[in-house]
Amino acid sequence: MAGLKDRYSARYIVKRLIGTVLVYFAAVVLIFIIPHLMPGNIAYEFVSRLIAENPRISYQKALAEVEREYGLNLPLWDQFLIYFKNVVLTFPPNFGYSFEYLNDSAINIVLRALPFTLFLIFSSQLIAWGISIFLGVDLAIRKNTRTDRVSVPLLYFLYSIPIFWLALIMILVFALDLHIFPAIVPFSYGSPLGTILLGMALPILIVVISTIPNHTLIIRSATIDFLKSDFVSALKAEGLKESTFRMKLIRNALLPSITQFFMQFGYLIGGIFIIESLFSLPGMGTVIITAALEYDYPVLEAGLFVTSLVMIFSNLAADLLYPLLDPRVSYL
Amino acid sequence: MIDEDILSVRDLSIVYSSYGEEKNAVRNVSFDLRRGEILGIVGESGAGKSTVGKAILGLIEPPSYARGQITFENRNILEMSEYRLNKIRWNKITMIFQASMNSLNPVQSIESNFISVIKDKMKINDKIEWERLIDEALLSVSLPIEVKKKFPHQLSGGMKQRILISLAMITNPQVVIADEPTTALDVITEFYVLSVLKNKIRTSGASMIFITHDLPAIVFMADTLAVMRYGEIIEHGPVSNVLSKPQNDYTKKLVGAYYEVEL
Amino acid sequence: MVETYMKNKLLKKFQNLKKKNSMAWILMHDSFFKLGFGILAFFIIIALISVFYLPYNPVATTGPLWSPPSLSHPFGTTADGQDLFSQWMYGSQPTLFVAFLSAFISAVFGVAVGISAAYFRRADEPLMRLADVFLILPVLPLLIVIATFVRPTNFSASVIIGLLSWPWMARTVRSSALSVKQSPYIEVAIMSGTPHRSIIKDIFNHTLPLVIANSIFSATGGILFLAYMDYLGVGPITSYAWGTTLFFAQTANALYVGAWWWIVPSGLSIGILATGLSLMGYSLENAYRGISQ
Repeated sequence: MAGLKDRYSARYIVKRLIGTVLVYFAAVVLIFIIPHLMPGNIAYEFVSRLIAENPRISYQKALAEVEREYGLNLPLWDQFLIYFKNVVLTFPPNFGYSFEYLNDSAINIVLRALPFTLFLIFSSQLIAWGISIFLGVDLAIRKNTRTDRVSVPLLYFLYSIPIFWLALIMILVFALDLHIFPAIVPFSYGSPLGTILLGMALPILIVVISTIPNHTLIIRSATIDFLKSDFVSALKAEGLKESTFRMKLIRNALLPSITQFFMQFGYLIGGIFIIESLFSLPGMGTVIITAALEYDYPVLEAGLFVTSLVMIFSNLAADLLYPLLDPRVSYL
Repeated sequence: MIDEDILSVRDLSIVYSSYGEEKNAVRNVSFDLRRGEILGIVGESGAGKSTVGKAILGLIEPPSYARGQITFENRNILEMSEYRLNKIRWNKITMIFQASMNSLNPVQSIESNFISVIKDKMKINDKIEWERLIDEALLSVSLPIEVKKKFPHQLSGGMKQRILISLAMITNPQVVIADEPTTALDVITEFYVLSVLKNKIRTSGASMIFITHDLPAIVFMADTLAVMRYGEIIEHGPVSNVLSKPQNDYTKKLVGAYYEVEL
Repeated sequence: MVETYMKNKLLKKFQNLKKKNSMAWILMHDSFFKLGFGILAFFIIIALISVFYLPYNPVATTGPLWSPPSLSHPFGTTADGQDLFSQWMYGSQPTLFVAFLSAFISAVFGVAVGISAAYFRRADEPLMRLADVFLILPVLPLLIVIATFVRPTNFSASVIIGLLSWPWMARTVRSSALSVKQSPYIEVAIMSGTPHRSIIKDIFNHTLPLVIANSIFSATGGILFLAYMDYLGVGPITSYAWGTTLFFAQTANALYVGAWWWIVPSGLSIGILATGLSLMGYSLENAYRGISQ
């Protein structure tokens, strides 16, 4: 690899960072707007919950209190300024206290869940991707053979199955019929590591199975393009070992597959959230989906905020990784 | 010149097949290549020149197929297994591709393009020895050794062509097939690359099949000349003979045009 | 030279194909396309039949509770004794509706943005930045959140899905339109003062097969997005799409009762229909690439 200085110019980095900051602000604004566009007053939900827990408080008094506490009686613009100040100018960003767990700040709830989600993503994608790169290159070499003609529709099918359905079937087969995995191992923050890993095993397996087709199909089609190129004919003339030949194809397929991986991150993270919720893993997905169903706005906003941050960083990483993998690309 | 055949081609026919249609790209081609000889094959696009070159390396892939005999070391290349072919490819017969065809892996450094050959073909696993061989190879085609850290897109066409030459010569092959090696180069670079190539071939004692549509290049390089048209060899002999006494009408036109350009 | 020879041959091949209505001819001889089309046709027929005829009322109690598949109830019954076969037939309607409407909406936006970005140089940067913002959004979580608040109908669900998924289309259309625009014959047309409208029309015609292929993939996405929303119980629940069946199965604990018949058919249908569409899109894209080479 040539020196990094040849690959990125200061101008490019500054431009890219400005772009990132703009996207960040867009996300912050959007996260504020979405709950406020929704029908109904945010406070009503919360107040009814307070009343249910504590019937002695009068409705009017509670409503006034909540509106004052969360600034909901202010004009929208002032609310936005307060929100902006709390989120952008404070560290860590302050989204207020959860409606559901009254003594816990929303951002803490989300940040506690983040490591589980990241662990699920990284472990599953490492496995899925490692398998796919060999599978994809192999299928490309076997293009139009019977193996390939059967594999492609099969991969599309696996890709098209909703991930939660795959999970339901896996639970049905492995956990309830065959008793290989325990269906759901309840664990939470601070459970022993063994329990956590056991509880994560089936979810990881499901995410691996449902993401392999996507990676494999992309790598296959990229490799098919490479196989038509001049340098591959040259490699064939060199009569290299089969393993060397494949390693070269893998090296060349890395780039498109990594780019695609980061581009489809938004879709991947959605599927992972649903799996977390289905298995009640204490990850971000469970937090966000529960918060959405319970109208727990502060947690919801914090959850979307952290998710957007993860997306923004992964996108930035993809862009900056690009010239490292493809020497032809340099950002000057 | 030693009068010993190293490669002999007999009745070679190659049929290209695509989308169920077949076309005879090469018909009943026969020629011999002596040790140290440079054979030029000239012809227009689609005459089947490159196809002959590919067949010698066993690179005609199904559904296309080749018939006849290509005898090398008393064996017919066309009947060899892929395993045996891989023992010949780049160990004994190598190929120089056209630089403009991106025959070097675009995402790997020049060094890596060499290393896979050195490791796989020459069975050398010593890092210092690799370095020495690569440096030597680059210097022998008058390239600075810093080039090895670069990537193909950072080099000019002439440099890439010289790299391809050194890559083809690094294993000390017995036969080198050069397929339009100077087609996309400007005249000055072409002359320079050809001098380098001729020098390398003559010093190593290898034989070469030089395929091009460029007659002046052949006159500069070759000992013998074969003219191909519509998949057949229509004239074959020492360069001077073909130039002075062309028999075939097409050859006459070709030679006529050559002299007109020269004058 | 072999390469030129092969290229000429391919060119001739495709010229011949053009006479035989190129794209259509290739697709008719592509087994993946035929398989995909067959699957789609099957579900469209089911949906059409279900408009006029259903064996039972899908939401009324018409049989024993928790009944496994039998002759009178081929897909079994739910915890409330609803006929799952009727629910399955009925569920094809909203699924197909949302798939196609959302794909159409995302195509309209994507094509408009993509072609404007490619054609008007000034609009390129801001439009693509906008697309980037949308690409970075976590679509599925956002969709779930929005759906929780607005309780969408089939129509509004399609609009939301379409509005969140146009950037892919915009990017593809832009790069394809850009390469057409930079091709010599369009440059000549621009230089010789051909009106904008006819040039844009020409560019559009060239990108159309790609747009169709992409729309088919968007439709696949639409099916899956709808299924995710329905499964979480935040989708258009009253329309009984396949995902909704799974939601009710989940709430009734069908999994632990072992009522596999409640879970398998609808999920499998989502997968098969989406596979069919993907195969069609895949063949279309291949055919387009083959022709434009």
